[in-house]
Amino acid sequence: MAKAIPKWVMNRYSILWNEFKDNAITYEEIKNALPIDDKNTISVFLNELRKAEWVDIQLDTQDARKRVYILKSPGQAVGEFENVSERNKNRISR
Amino acid sequence: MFLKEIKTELVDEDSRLVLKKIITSDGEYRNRKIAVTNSIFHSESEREKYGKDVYTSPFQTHHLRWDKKSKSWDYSSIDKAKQHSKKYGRLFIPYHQKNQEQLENINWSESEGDFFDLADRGMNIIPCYVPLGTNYKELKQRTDDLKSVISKTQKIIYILSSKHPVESFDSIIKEQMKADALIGINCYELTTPTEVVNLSKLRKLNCSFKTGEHSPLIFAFNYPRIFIDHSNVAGSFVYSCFSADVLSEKAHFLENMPPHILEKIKAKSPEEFYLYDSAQRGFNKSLTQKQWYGIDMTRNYMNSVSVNEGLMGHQVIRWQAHYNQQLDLELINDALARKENVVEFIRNYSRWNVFWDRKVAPSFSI
Repeated sequence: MAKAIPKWVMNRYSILWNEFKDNAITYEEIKNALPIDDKNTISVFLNELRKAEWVDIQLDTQDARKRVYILKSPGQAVGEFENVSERNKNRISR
Repeated sequence: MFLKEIKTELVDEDSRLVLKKIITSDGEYRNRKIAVTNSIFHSESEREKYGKDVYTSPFQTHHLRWDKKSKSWDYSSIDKAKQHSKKYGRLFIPYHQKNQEQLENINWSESEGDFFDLADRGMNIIPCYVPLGTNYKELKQRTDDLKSVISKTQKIIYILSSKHPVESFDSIIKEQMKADALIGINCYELTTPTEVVNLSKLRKLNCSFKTGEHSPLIFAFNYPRIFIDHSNVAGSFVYSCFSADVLSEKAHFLENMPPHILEKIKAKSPEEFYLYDSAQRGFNKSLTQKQWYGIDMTRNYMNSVSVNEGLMGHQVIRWQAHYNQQLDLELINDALARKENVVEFIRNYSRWNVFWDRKVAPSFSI
């Protein structure tokens, strides 16, 4: 289930979502879409997205050494996030 | 102004950051203060001519230059700098800016020589460079001797290198922290395991004090202004994460630079200057600003500089970077004081988050 992400991660996610939606994207495409960021920042960014479950990571069918990234839609991620909050609320009220 | 007492205000277990109260004869300050350094002192002197304000930092450092030609320390501007610090009620801390080789090869005879050079000049805070391999027993014996020949108003700041052998660093720090001493760390680019281990141990000890207890005051000297290998995060933030209370970045002495490097510096265009970006909490240049924000912030900023600032464009950029870094460190202090989730706060900014994720969080296991 998706979790909240830091502001800077959200800013970068928005850029990627506007450009690629839920199409499979490669690391190179992400790097080109986020030109201010060095490799360090991009890998931390992708790690944050992965930990928060805002992205699905799959192996590239053409080249098994590479990965492709599929973003969850904002609606789906926030929906999952709200469901978790709702469940937690119910647990507390019980 | 003189130092009265340093007290622990709050220890945040999650971030391992500590809020301290620095009590001086002129009032109280919080820690995480960037000192007025050599270059900022020069900028302040220029700004004074136009009636402009100066920084409110209670600390002014003066990094001394090693004159390669005469093979001696250059003390020619120390009195002027000290006078300036007195005028603005600051604690003045002179510092022999030694390179790694000088620090690794220093012996007690040389260290005491440097000490007396400053003690005889009437400095109130005097650095004592601890040679590698010194154990605590020897350090105590040496510094007891030094204390017996200085006046009551003079205080010693013990300088260790972050590349000091781990065991000796640990034994000295443990005892000095208990003695609520002034501790200075000569810092580097944080690339070796020794640095990370030493600084993590320092942080662990720094977190062991309880609210209201006396606390040591930790100075970070000589660190790089920008950590290019860590997403251009500021050195002041880097060492704040490893318990530095007062920060004094490395000084670059034009006198020591070869002519071709000087020419290169003079020929720099605004696009090559690093601007401190408060949105990302790190440094960037014109090209990346244009790609990310759609505007060249550095050039825009330089175009807005008025001549009555008394500074050149690149000096204003540096001045503003210094100011904004301090504001950002104060935000961390505010978050700590409000007992907010500081880690979450830090992780909201890309440059800070990258450094935290790559260097700080993994070091918690040490």
